[in-house]
Amino acid sequence: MSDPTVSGVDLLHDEAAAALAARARWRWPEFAFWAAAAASFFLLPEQYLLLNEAAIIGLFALSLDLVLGYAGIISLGHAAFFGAGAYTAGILAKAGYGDPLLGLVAAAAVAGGLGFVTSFLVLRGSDLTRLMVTLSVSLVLFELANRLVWLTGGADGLQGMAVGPLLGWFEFDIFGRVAYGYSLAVLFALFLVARRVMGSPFGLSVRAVKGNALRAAAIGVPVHARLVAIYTLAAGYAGVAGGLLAETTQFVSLDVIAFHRSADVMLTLVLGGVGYLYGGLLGALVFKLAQGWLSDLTPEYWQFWIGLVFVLMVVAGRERVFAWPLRLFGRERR
Amino acid sequence: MSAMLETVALERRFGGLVATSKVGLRLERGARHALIGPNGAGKTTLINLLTGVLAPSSGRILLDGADITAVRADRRVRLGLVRTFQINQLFAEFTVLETVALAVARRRGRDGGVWRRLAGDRAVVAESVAVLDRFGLVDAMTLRVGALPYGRQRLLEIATAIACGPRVLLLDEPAAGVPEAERNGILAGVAALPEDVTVLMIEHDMDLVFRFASRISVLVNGAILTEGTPSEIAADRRVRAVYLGSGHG
Repeated sequence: MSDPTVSGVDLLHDEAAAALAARARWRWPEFAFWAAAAASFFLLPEQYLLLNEAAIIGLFALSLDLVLGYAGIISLGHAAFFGAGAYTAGILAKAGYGDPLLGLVAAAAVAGGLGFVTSFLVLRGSDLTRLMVTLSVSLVLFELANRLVWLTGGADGLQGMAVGPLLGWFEFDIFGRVAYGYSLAVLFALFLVARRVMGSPFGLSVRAVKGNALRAAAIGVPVHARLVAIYTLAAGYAGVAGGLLAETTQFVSLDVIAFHRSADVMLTLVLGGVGYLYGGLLGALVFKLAQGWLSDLTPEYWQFWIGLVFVLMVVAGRERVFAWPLRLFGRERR
Repeated sequence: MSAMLETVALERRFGGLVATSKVGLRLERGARHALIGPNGAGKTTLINLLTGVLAPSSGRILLDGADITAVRADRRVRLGLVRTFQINQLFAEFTVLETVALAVARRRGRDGGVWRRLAGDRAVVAESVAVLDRFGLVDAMTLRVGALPYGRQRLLEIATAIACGPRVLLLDEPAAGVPEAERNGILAGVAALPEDVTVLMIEHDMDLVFRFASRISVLVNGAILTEGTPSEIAADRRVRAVYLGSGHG
């Protein structure tokens, strides 16, 4: 084991730097994905409402991916943050603060704050404990939203939101043109941030905690601080998604914080695959398209077909189902 | 000489079982110290106490004179107390390079950055390559850790600890499960450490212990039976009795 020559070290250094950078490099399917998303805005005007919903659910699923796919925290209550964001934006708009971006910032802050506080509960215990804790938090919040009728409108929903024009200029229209453009732009911006953050040393240390918390601590990574940070960030993302839904539909009901929303976002993410950021976006797209198509075919039973797809996915095996999107979008795997 | 790592009456009980009993262990700065003892003597429990994975029932742990008994595990690493594991604890989905680079970045306080990229950090990359080279892992640096053969994972296990820049390194059976031919690589990597790094090695392979250590402590039933130079330990009748299983002398 002799020391290599100086030039050998330089060569190795460049090779190592290139190898570290490889994971962060943009790949052509990613460009294609976002080009297609941008094109959809100009080419598919009759699909704006559906696509808007897909973009919002995609952002929500992306948020869950940060928690589940990168930090390994199983959550069955992620709708708590989505709902907190939706109600925040909704209540602000109703109170006369209808600027959409202000609403989103507030939604992110409230949901992120809630995520920060509840993250300390999530630190405790193992997967099953976390499942119960996240579920419980969302159920408590659901009941709060249900009971605080003066604030949330309770079971009737929040009536009378007045969302102002985007950037003081673009009024939301009934076709969903501004809505979809808005949601897509926010999704893209937050995706870029998430991609950058997860490709950073911080992101690597979060993945280390997921991979082996014992060893992560044994190389000095502050495990709890990392989990708190990523959980808070993800909660903020979910809050923005909720805020977008409230602002673009101009209505908030208990549906935003209901249990089925937590379950749906989990299914959406699993459908697209966890741990490579695009899973939630692809899952949301497939989920929404399938929902539209299947409910046309069989209005009563579309959930049966979604369920069947999941059963088949489980039977086929995760690795096989996600082989192609992981190769296209994912990190290099050898 | 001042003690680099010292325990004072360190004790850990699991219910009625005393796993670690009034252990007073003292490692001088730069020591090459081995901890031996039969299976179930409590060697790994002691390592877990030293590194903060387990909390002691009573007693104190001093690192370079400072009491670290209540210090969290990851903070102890930042103070320079680093360990390896008897059973590999690695990040299977990482590449070999990423594993070491994270440890190096952590030591340099660069693991919290949310915007920078590791690839652009020349110091981190250079040091990572140097550590990998010392353990002959450079050719494997882009491979997934989970795809490495066991012997090389074992090398990475130790390389990762060394990448943390230890002042005190605790090696928990570094040669466990490693074929005879590959043991030299492990020993060479440890031998290349700076002399002021203090090393405590737990090991069953007596050949390795006697080649490595200048002092040996013998742990039996959670308590230190005796301590001395390799020749003293080799000549100790009680140690022989314990290892030959012919009752306690």
